[in-house]
Parts: sequence; structure tokens; C-alpha cells
Amino acid sequence: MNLLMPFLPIIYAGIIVAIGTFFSYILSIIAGFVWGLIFFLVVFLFALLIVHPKSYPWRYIVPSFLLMFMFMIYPIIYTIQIAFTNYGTGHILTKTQVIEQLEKETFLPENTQNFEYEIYKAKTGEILLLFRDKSKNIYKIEDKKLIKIGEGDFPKEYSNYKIVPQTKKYGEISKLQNIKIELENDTFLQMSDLNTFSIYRQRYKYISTEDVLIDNLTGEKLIPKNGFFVRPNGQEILPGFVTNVGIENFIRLFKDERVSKPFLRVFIWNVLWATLTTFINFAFGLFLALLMNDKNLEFKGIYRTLLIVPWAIPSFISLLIWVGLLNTEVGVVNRILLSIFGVKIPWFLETKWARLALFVVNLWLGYPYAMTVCLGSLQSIPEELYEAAKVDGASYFQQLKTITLPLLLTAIGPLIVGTFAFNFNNFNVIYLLTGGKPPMADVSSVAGTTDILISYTYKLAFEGGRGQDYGLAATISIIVFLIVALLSLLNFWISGMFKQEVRYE
Amino acid sequence: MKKNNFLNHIPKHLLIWIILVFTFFPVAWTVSASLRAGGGLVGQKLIPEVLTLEHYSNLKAIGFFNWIKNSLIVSLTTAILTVFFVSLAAYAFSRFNFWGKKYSLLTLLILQMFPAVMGMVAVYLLLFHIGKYIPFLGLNTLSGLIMVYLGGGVPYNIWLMKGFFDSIPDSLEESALIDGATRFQAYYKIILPLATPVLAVVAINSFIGTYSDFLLASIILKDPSKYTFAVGLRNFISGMYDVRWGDFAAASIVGALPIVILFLSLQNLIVSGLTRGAVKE
Repeated sequence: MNLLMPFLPIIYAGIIVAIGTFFSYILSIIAGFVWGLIFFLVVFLFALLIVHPKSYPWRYIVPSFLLMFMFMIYPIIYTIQIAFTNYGTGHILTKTQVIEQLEKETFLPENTQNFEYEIYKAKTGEILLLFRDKSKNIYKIEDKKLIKIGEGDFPKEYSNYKIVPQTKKYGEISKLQNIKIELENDTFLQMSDLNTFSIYRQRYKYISTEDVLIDNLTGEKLIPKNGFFVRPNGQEILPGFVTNVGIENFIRLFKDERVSKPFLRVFIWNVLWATLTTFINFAFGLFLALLMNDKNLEFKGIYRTLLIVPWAIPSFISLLIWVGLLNTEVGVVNRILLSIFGVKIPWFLETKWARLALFVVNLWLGYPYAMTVCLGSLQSIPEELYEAAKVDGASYFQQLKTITLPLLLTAIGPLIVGTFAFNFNNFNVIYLLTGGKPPMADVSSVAGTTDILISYTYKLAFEGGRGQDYGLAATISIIVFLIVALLSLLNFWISGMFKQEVRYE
Repeated sequence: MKKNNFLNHIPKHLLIWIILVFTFFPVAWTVSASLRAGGGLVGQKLIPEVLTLEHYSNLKAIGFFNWIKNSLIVSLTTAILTVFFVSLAAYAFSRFNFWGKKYSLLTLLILQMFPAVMGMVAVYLLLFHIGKYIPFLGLNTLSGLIMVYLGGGVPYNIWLMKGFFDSIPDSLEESALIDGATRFQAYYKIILPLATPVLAVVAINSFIGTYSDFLLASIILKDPSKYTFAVGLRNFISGMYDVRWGDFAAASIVGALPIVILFLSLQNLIVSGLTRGAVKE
């Protein structure tokens, strides 16, 4: 073991390089050579840091950072990349893959040559085909060429192959239907009907120097445009391919009515949602904290534990339960409301009620956190301040206004911004409670009137009724990135202003 | 005097009781539904007319234990590996001065603001492509999902742990180093035992966080046999409230109970971790 010690860093670096190289290779295929190379250089740097004695601490850090690079930082970069493409249903393959696929297509030219054929089988089970043209010449195929081996009738045997009798011949045919025997000059021998093989020509041929696809059937030149090969008359050839579309997705967000209208509404509701729900939760949490912040209150510990129960239950469970309770026809909430007030509320059918449900349920989910934060902060306000205020004759509300609130907001400011950011992207509440419903009445879109950006993104990418649109989804993710980044800056600013002691060193 | 005090507090107690009714409203109805004969939402009363445990015995048939098994595999592995990788990195950031430290920490501080879900489209496509070369890290695998959780938790947890490590005095390690211990021995023999509280916080947070995640699990896991509890439960009840309410309630209670107990019994530890920054002023 001691003998091995000096080599451990090298072995360690070797393992990191091995993992990293493999991942770089995959990245170079997915995202292009440049990204693969960049990632490889990062990994190489990590390996150097591990081996060099002076950068010894990096030996502790590299595994975490490697994970973070692969599954956090890279997805962020990839999101940005996708936002500038048309990646999505109909545009899944790369251009090279599409060309490969199209070049496999063949067609039957006019005046083609037809052949009769017989199937021959060796004892080992190998199959051989012999062909006969109209002038009774018999051919076999070798090195992409038709080679004449005789005339007249098909032989009963050829080298060590025996002819398959007529009675059994048609049993073999199903195997022949997909056979494509390559010949010279981009032609192929394929079955054209039960008794005939014919010469087919390759339909499309890609010319890389001109970046065009030639259609041998029509003689047209197809030009790549917007992720399709397009005929001169504008017809697009399927399948499409992934291609860079520049800022088109961003333009769609703001200019294309079918996208910009739902996007704008989702955006406005998203801001409104995050602001109001954060305010409601903290207002309620503060109210509760003020109730509880009393040393002489009986059962305080029990109350506190009971009140944070909603925080302890995984939110997806409580949300799914709330969906049941708020069911319009048979839900408990409506039955209670019906028996007391005689009303039945269409919780998830009308926008205003769906939104109210969201606020109420998110209050249920979120007040324990707000309360706990406020309570902790209240307890840290020095008692002397209140005593001094009492001496000066300040009322309870004056104390609240001049002592409690300013000190409290200073302390929990960053956490309020953090909660705002959390609610801004609170996918679970929106998606599991309303699913974004009800749908927008006047626009045809996957977005509903209670969707927020993140749930809209999810729907665009993973459950669009008209297929996936990864490009647009990634574009909206970038907008969300920007907003969160802005909030983070705001948070640094607030906490920096009030604390002055964020430690980087 | 004491009695007087209690009388003064009656309005407060009343208010708190009203809020407790709101808090326990869904809990009570779920417990009742899980014990009530009959499966649907229709005509449910808070006190069930006929008590039965049939919904609990149905749990196996609806695949509940398979969801829980998958969830436990994912959450436990994520929690353990997160603590392992992150504590190493946090130790280095807390104890050494080295090239690249300041910018690494700053980068981590910025990255921790971005929840992993924002890169969901990219994560999905990344796993889709990785899966073609490394099948066990692709879509529809628990190990792929674990990797995504691991990568996403690094920045926040490094900062959290570093903060705690900073508060452990250097002197303890220094004496060990003088006695001939290596740096790594100092780390796992001295710092780790002293840092147990923060290790527990990170482990529990990761565990609860991944156990409760719906979004990433729902896009990565497509095969019902791979579903975690969140995805399985949602797909089970979605659109089926009128017939599956009872089974759903039983599954919810059994699935939530361990987390609730864990959370409440360690509430001070967890709460101090999650409200970091507010209380220390």
C-alpha cells in the first residue's frame, strides 16, 4: 500500500480523464466537436490539478465539479444551444442522418430492366439468387456487377447451391422483399413483383460541394432551408432536420401571434402569481409568528410542531389530495360550501376560481416556512428595544411599525426574494393542482390561463398536443434563467447591503 | 396569576385553533378516506360509516411498494453520494487556499440560484443521447435520474457545508497533523465526526428533496416499473378521483408518514438548514 502511495494521484487523474474523455466523446456527437473539445480541456485541467502537488486541494473538489459540469452546467449551455435551433417534432435528426436516410430511397425508372429469378440454397442454409433477362441470359451478382453464367433455362444446381423447388419458393419470398442488392452507378436490384426483380435507381444524391440534394426522378435540385430539403416549387421533403435558426424562436415569442399572445399572458400571470402568493404567505406567516412569539403562551411547542405539518408532507402528495378535495362535483370543499352557503364553485373550470385555489393551497403549503422564518427573526430582536419603547409610551402597533417590521424585513429580505424566486418557478403547485387549466378561450395553445413559464415550458417540450417543440421550450427556459439571474443579483444586493460579510475566502 | 394569563390568551388560542383546522382539514379527510369502505369521492363523510383496512391491503396490488422501492433507491443513493462528494469539496474550500478558489466559490454561489428544472429540456435530451452509448445512464433509468440530482445539488450543498466547516477550529486538525496524520486522515477522522449535524442536514435535505421531486422524475422515467412514488401516485390518481380515492389516500398516508416523522423529529436541524441566513443575525 505504501509503495502505491506516490502513484495514487496519477491513478486518480487517470480515472477522471477516462470518464471525462468518454463524456467528451458523447458531447462531441450531441453538441458538436467544439463542445466535446472544451469539455475535454476542462477534464484535462482537472487531471493536471490533481497530479500537481501545489494544487493538492483540487483532489477533494474534482469529483463534485465533474458531476456538476456534466449534469448541471452543461445542460444550461445546451439549453442555450437548443434555443437557437428548430429541434422538435419533425426536426429530430441531424442533417447528416437525414441525408443518409434519404439516400437509401430508390425508385423504379422507366424502361428499367426486369429479371426473372430463382432461389438457390446451400446445405449450410446460405441463399443465392440467379437472374434471367428477357433474352434468357442468366446472371449472378458479384462485386456489384451482373455476371453472365449461362443461357436458357435456370440450372438445377449451381456450384454447391441447389434450386429451391416452385412449391417452396413462395415461402421464401417474404425474406426477399426487403433485399436491396447494390449495383454500380447508384442502382439497385430490388423485387418489383412476386416473380420479378428490377433495376432501381437511387432517388436522392447529396452533393456536398454545393450542399444540394439531387432528385434523380425529377431532376430537381433540392436546397436545404429551415430544416427541410425544399423543392424548387417550395415543397418540403420529410423528415426535417435540426438546424440553426438564429433568433427565430425569440422573434416568435414576441412577433408570432400564436406564440406571443399566450406567452405574454403566461408571463404576466407568472409575475402576478409569484408576487401575490409570496406576499400572502409572508403576511400570514408574520401574523402567526406574532401570535406565537409570546414566551408565556401555553402549548407553544406543540402548536409550532402541528403548524409546520404542511411543510413536512411532500408537496406532491398534499397537492394531489387538494385536487380531490376541490373536485367541483363531488369534492368535500364544494359539498361543505353547498350545505352552508348553497353555492357550488367551479374550482378548476374558471380562471378566477382556479387562481384562488392556487393562492389558498399555496398558502397552506407555504405559511409554515414563512412563519418559521419570521419567528426565528422575531426572537432575535433584542427585548430592550421594546422596553425602551414602552417607557416612551409607544403602543403595540407603534412598536410593530417602528421596531419589529423594519428589523424583521432587514433580516429576512433575502429569504423573501428567495421565496419569490421559488414561487416564480413553483412547477409542482401549478402543474399538479390545476395543470395550467382552464385553457385559454381565444388562442389555440398548450398554455392555460394558470400556467406559469416553467409549466408552459414543460408542456411545450413534453406533452404538446401538436408534438414537441424543444427549441421554443429552451427559449422560454432562457427567459426564466434571465429572470432568476436578475433576482439573484437583487438578492446579492440586498444581503450585501444589510450584511456586508458574505465570505468568499 | 397563571390562570389569569391563560384567560388572557384565550383569543390567541382560538385563532391558532382556527388555523389548525385549516391545516388539518386535508389531513383529516385523507385519513378518513383511507379507512372508509368504498373507493370514490362521492358522499364521503368525515367519520366513515363503515371502517375498513381494505385500502391498505390494496397497496401491493396497485404497485405502491414498487414505487416506494424505486424512490428509496434514488433518494438514499442521492443522499449518500451527495454527502460523500460534497463533504470532500467543502473541506477543501474551508481549509485550503489555492489557485482558483475565489472564482470557484463565486461560480457556485451563482449556480446555486438556478434550480435544475430550468435545464429540463437539455437534461432530457442529454440523457436521451447518453443512453445510446451508456444504457444505464440513459432515459428511463434510475441511475440516470440519480446523476441529474447529484449534479444539481452540488453548488448549494458545498456552500452549506463549507459554512459549518468554517466554524470548526483549525487547532484540532493541526495537532493531529503534528502527530503525523495525513490531511485526508485529518478530514475523515476529525472533521467528519465533528460535522455530523451538517452532514445529517445535507443528507436529509437531499433525501426529502429527491423523494418529493416530480418534474425530473416524470420526464426521465417512462416505464411504469421504474416510476418513483411521485410519478406513480400522480399517474395512478390522475383523472381517477371518483374511483381510486380510497386507495390513493392509503398510499398517500403510508408514503408521507416516514417523511413527516423524519421531518418533525428533526425539525430543528432541518429548519435551521432551510432557513439559513434568517436566524443567525
